[in-house]
Amino acid sequence: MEQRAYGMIRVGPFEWEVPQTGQMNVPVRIYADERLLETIERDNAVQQAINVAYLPGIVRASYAMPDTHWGYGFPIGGVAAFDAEKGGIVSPGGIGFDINCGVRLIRTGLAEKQVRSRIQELVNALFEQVPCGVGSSKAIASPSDQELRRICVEGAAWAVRNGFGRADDLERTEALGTMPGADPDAITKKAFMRGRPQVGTLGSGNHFLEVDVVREVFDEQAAEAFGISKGLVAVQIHCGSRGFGHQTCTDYLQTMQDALRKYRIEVPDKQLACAPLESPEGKRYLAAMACAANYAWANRQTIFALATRAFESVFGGDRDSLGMQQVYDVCHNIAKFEEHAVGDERRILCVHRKGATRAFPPGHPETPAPYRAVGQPVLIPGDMGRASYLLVGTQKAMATTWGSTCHGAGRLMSRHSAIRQAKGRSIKKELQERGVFVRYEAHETLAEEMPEAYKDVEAVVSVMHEAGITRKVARLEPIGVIKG
Amino acid sequence: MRPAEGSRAGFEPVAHTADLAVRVWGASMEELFEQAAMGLISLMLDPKSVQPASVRTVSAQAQEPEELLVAWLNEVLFAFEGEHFASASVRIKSLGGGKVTGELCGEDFDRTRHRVRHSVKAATYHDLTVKKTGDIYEVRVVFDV
Repeated sequence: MEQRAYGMIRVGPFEWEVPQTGQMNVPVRIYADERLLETIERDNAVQQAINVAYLPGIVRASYAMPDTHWGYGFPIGGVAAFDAEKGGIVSPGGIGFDINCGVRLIRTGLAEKQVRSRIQELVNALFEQVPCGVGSSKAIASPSDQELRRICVEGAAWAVRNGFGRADDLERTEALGTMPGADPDAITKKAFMRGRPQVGTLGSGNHFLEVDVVREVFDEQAAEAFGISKGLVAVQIHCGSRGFGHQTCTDYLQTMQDALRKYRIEVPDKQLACAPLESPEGKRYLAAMACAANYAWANRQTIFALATRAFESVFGGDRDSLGMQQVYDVCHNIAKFEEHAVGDERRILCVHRKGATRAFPPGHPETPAPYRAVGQPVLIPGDMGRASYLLVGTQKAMATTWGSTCHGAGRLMSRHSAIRQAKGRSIKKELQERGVFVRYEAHETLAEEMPEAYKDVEAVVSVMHEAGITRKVARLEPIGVIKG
Repeated sequence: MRPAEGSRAGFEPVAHTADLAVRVWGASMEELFEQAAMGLISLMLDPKSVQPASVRTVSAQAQEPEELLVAWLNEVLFAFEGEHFASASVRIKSLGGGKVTGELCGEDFDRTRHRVRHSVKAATYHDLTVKKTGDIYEVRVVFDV
């Protein structure tokens, strides 16, 4: 058998382990097939997952999902749980700058044929309604200080209360769209300044709003529960907490540098800076993180309402007559206190998911009531040319990965090489030839985000399907995209 | 990694799968801080499209030099992302004792005239070490975009 780097051994058909050695507190577990493992080994993701295993109070393993790739500090696609009673920590870098970056999926009652014939009109209307691009702002009137503080505490419920969407959207949102424990006093003036004009905006980078068609259904029972069927049109929103979250992470990473010295925690990379969960610094970060998570939910809730207006303006009628119903909204950059089985014990752990998605099983109290028999919907966006996936959580996820799975395709190419490869080509035209109409703010962003810059999301979700962590429910293919 | 022949201070983008990184060098820590700021500004917008009409003072504090560099860059980033001040150039006024003060020369951001490039979320501490080779300081900074 060939020798793998870091003494990695195969422990299952889709599972690899870097055994615990030296200062590692736990082993590393990687989910991948052989082909994905090769791309994972080519960058620094494995070393980064090993670095996470050094952190105090980590339980069972440092996990890497099949879409894992080199981040900074924690790898993207990393999952790690910490136990406060064992000196466990919280690390802002283990959540990421875009706190509660996530995905919202909305089903419509419209058929592909109805929408395809008017896709340009629809995408133009969406582009008008939802500001995107670098520094995009002013989707709605800028909230006052007092309103911003309410957003911090209420999350998506703030948006609903202000006429953006409906109360039943909240039932179909992770944590009901409101993260508890938020304290606006933990937020700096700088974060408020960056966040104020950006509520209801998509931003730039890999964020998007997409019109999809359900191309294939793999699990009829789950699809039916989620209101999804073949040939129907759906809408996907991918974005996060904008400058508000970015500044909050920045502010607390600086605090955490001092905390490392104060609590004498040694980390192999300053970006892993952290503080004990029970420390004042740790608690204050969690209170600030909850504010940013809530900002992100208010943001996606508002964008959904703006997108609804675009649909109504093009197709007439209202949300109900268009059959628009939220399927789910998940975050993939977050830390949450959750109850999990550790050996024979039930423990409350702080689960960090950085580029990983919660995937709770059927019957779990946090799986929304309408889906309790089938499990929590999991939304996995792919690149804008190929496909995205709707999955469902399982008991096995709960038992093995703290109820977590992958979050997307994962980048294959650096932004520079994507731009180089796009030189002399029209990505817009190429996408149009594939049946995808795209409107964008910046030419460079479109080039950086072209389909081949990403791994094939199908390979990623198939690993988690075969490993029994999440099951495939449906494949969605884009027909219209707006990008920053 | 050697600085480009003949230039004692400068910056260049380097490849990184998910994000953007900039390699920076300078003959003093002051130059290193200036060049790192210019590297960041050039990721966010085209500084040549900005008129140096006014000056904004920016300062940062931190215990260690690497932490100070990150804190400084995040202040430069905030001037654009939080205060919408577009910069054409940067000058360090003072650096030492865990504190840096610098001046950004530019004007209020104008979407119609300024060519924006990337939305940078933050400067990271990732893999950040200031090295000194001969009399040249060098560092690589990874930015989250």
